[in-house]
Amino acid sequence: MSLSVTLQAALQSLLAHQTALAVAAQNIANAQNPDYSRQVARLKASIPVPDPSLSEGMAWGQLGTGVTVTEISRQYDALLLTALRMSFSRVAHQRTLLNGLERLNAMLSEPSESSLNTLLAQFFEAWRDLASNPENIGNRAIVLERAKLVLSRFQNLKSQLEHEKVLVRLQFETEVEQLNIWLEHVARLNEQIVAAKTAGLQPNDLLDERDAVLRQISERLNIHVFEQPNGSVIVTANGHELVSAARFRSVKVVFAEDGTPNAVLSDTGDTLPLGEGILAALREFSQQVIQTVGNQLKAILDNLAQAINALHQSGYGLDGSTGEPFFVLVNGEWQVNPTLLNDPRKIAASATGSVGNGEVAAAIARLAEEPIDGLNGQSILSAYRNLVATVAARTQGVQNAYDAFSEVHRFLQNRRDMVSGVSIDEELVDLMRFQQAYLAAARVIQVVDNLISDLLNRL
Amino acid sequence: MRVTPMILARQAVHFINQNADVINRSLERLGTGRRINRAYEDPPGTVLSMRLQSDITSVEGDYRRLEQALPYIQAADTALQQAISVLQRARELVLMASNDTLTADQRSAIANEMVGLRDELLQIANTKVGDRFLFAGSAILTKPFAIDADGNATYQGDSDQLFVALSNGERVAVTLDGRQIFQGTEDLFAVFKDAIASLRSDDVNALREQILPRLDAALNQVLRVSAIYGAQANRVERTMSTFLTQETSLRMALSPVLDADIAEEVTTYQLRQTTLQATLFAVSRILPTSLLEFMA
Repeated sequence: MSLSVTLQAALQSLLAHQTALAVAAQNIANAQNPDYSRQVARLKASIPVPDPSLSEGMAWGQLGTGVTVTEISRQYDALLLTALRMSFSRVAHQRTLLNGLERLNAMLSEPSESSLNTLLAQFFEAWRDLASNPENIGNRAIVLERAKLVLSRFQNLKSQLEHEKVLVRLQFETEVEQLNIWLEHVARLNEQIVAAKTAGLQPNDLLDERDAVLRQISERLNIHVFEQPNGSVIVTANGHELVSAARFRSVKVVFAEDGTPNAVLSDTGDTLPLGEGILAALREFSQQVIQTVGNQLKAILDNLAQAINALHQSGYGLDGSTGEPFFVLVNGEWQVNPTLLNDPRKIAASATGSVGNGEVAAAIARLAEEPIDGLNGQSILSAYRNLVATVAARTQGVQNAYDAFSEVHRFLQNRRDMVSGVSIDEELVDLMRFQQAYLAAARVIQVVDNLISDLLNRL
Repeated sequence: MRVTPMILARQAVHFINQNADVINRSLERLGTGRRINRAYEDPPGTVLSMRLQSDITSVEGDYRRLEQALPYIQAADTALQQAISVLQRARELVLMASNDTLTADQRSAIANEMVGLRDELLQIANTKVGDRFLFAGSAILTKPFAIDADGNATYQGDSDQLFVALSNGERVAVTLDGRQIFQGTEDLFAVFKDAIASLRSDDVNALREQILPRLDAALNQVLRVSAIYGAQANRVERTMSTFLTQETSLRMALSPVLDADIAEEVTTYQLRQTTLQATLFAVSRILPTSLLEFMA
């Protein structure tokens, strides 16, 4: 009786440590998999049997029957994962904003000698030169050329901003499409996990996969994840349920009148509050940055053209012509009046009609630094400088936020790895431990075998 | 605390990137020679440099415009000086002619000389530099004065002026209102006409009583304008040198904002290079370390 129990215990030890070795091997195999959570084989002594040799009176003593692996547990910290998901949203949000703002800074290309600031300054200088040499056709031609350069830079910026807006729309749509795929994936994993758990299995790899998918979702959207006792999760975004058990609700994109992308729930049509993440950042960039900068640039150009026109129309050209605008609107775009391009003498530099009077040109040159009501009392040049300053300061702010959040994020990732990551050294130590245990169990079997054969031989 | 290879790798990559990023920025600053390569690296500095750069463009423009106008201003100044000496010579002649001892022939000869002086004055009044008449007001392409057969002059210019526009809103006159100088309270050509008539008619009394005081008044008229304009002409050169100084000081103000401090950048570069090398060394030593190395 007791020899066979010993043999049984040794066998269980062999099997249990084989499993433990397999778990260690699996851990080592996934040491470089960032989504993998370390697994541990939980060993537990087997149910003891009553043994007659240990009986004392009426009570049976108990004899251990070995060891079993009760579960292969997954090492994770739910609280840490929640914090990490929030951090993913935040970092992705700032990264997306930063990417856009960096492109915007490159577009404005300040400070440089070929920037709009320089072109505007040179444009006003050309007028001042004309004011001092009003009879000179060459100076008139320069004014026209500089005006064309300024306009083409404004138009270039405008079309770049429009292009940027289209890119943002496309990216928003792609991200929402991706989001729907992930949401569906979570629902499917929920189903599989519940099924596995019901069958009494420990679906560690499915849990890892679901965490990875939830991480992908939180990069796009702020989500809250509520784990249910049956193993499934409910995913909500700002109070709107996105995934519950095996069901998910898909999200679709609608565009506001000004082209700002919005995410709405396909079934109810409710607008989904985006919180933080790639989607919110794209929306913010489109609406608050591209739109605002575009409007401000337009306001600067409109006021510039209108103020110059008002002065220009009061003046006289070399040929006595008057009332000509300097800029004209063609299909909603400002252009230099073609009449002037054909005949630069018609540029109205003179306030009196006299050849040597350059007062109108001088007044136009002074516009550069004169407060304009349409620009909230800023001058043309200072309005543009403020625009650049606002964009630059905002970018700097986002950059700082991104750096700070990345730092926190790295800290959280390290914390997560401290709990869930695989340390190869640790696994190697385990390997040796389990190997020793295995060898010891084998030795026990050998000893029992020797005992039995001794007994048989002597009989 | 458990440290996994993933944590080590993440930290290693982070520190390598951090150092490489600083080196990259430093290299960019060294390569471009500029401290600010993107507006967001220093928003206030960017705005300041934009402001300084347009100020420099303006001051350079002011200097260039004055430099271009200087020949005209100097020519007008010289012309006014010449007008004064013509009037002084005329006064001497009339003073001489008003002496009772001179004969009618002698007065007639002086009259001829006065005709010459009047023509010289007309020429001065019609001074042209390049395409510009300097005494036609703002009608710079119109010859301002013409004299008919009777010796009456008419002014075809206007009472405006051509100015150089400066970026601070000030203006510097280039041309002058010729009427104010040559046909103001005293019409210089009329004085000459009457003087010549009086000389020819031997009217000593008129020469002494009328022509001489009128010549004095004419001289004062031109002197007044010349004094004002001459002072301005002198000022122009001083203003130009002020602009040069201004430009230099603006550039000096711009330099620390926009230009990379080469010495500092090189130091940063080397320092970070050393840090990066140390990081790389440590990483190359730590990452491969594993129990595996020591297992038989």
